[in-house]
Amino acid sequence: MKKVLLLSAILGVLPLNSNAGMVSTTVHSRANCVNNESITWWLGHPYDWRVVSTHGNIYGRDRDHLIDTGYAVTWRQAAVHWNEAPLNDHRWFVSGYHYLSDYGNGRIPFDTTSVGDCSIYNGWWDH
Amino acid sequence: MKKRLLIAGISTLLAFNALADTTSALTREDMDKRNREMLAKAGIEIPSSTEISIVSASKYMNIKGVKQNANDAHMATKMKEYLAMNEEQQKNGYVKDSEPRAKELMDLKHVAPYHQKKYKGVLSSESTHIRASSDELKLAYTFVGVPKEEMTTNIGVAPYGAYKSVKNGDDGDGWDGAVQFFEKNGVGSCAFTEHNRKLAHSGVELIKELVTYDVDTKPSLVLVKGNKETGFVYKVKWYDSTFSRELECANQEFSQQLRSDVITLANRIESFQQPS
Repeated sequence: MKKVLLLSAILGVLPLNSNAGMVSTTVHSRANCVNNESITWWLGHPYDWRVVSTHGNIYGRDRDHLIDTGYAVTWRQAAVHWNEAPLNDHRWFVSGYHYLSDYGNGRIPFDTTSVGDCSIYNGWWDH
Repeated sequence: MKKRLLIAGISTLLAFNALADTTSALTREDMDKRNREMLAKAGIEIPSSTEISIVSASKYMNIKGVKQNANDAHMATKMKEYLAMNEEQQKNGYVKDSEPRAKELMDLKHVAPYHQKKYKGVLSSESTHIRASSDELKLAYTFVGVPKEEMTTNIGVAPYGAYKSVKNGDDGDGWDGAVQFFEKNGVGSCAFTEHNRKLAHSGVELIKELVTYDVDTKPSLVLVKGNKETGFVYKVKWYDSTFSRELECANQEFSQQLRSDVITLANRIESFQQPS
């Protein structure tokens, strides 16, 4: 089961009983996780979200770049660079800037996430 | 030959060690600096403080002489929608639209006990499930929440925002926000959300035309949305230099009295919080 979950996490394919951000909005970033990524989500609750994910490489600024999803109404806004980072390598650091366009505000990120590792995010499944 | 191989091996190990040291040499400040350079290169401006900024809607809509990018154009469109919603609310007391959040809040008292029972004692700190109380939730700060006397029934507490970690250079271990669900007789089914912007490293920019000062004379936003079929959500947000807070209460009916009651409840919750 753990292998299935790990594979699902790596591929970005969620099991059907996924409970990420089940009762409210949650945000995270992951680095060196095969993918480098920053994600905002609330299962089944579409909002007008935007995520900017910056990916820095410790071996050179020339590899630094970012992904900007732009705004879109969705329950899962994901800025993902697929297959950019070998699993559990250490060369990338990732920061996520999470925006929500909502009545009265929206042009500034409501949360930021900065990581240098592939912490598996337990909220992705039952426990 | 063996000596050469040994020297080559040691050299390789030293080289790897030097590479590994590169990681530890990069501090959070170094990474933040690099991030800002990437953002600046893409024309993305991120405020460095968590303070509240209040600007006119025209700042979003009239960018004269500057070709708008897709995000600016999107925000300009949204701003027109928000101003129209404000106008409708001032005229009719609420924005007439379907509001599925109302039923969800009203049903939560039936759903939450199942989840709390199923996952009791087995949840990790990072899990996003609802808990019976904030004592079961690992937060990176002290969550005071809703005073007991303001709740007819306490439904539970769930995390909101990001799970922060000291190992990543954050200021604490735990969630940077929480949402508390409760029932309040005469008002409805409510959710109180709190987000610690200092932990989140985020500011807030509010639209002057939509800002009221209904909660403790702090910058606030009030929006009532719904219809008779879906029910209504009465939403109040308010801000200080550390926190963004929000109270949503769902009720099948609309009335000006309910609107006023929700604002009063928001004020009582605010007066219960520790000064930040």
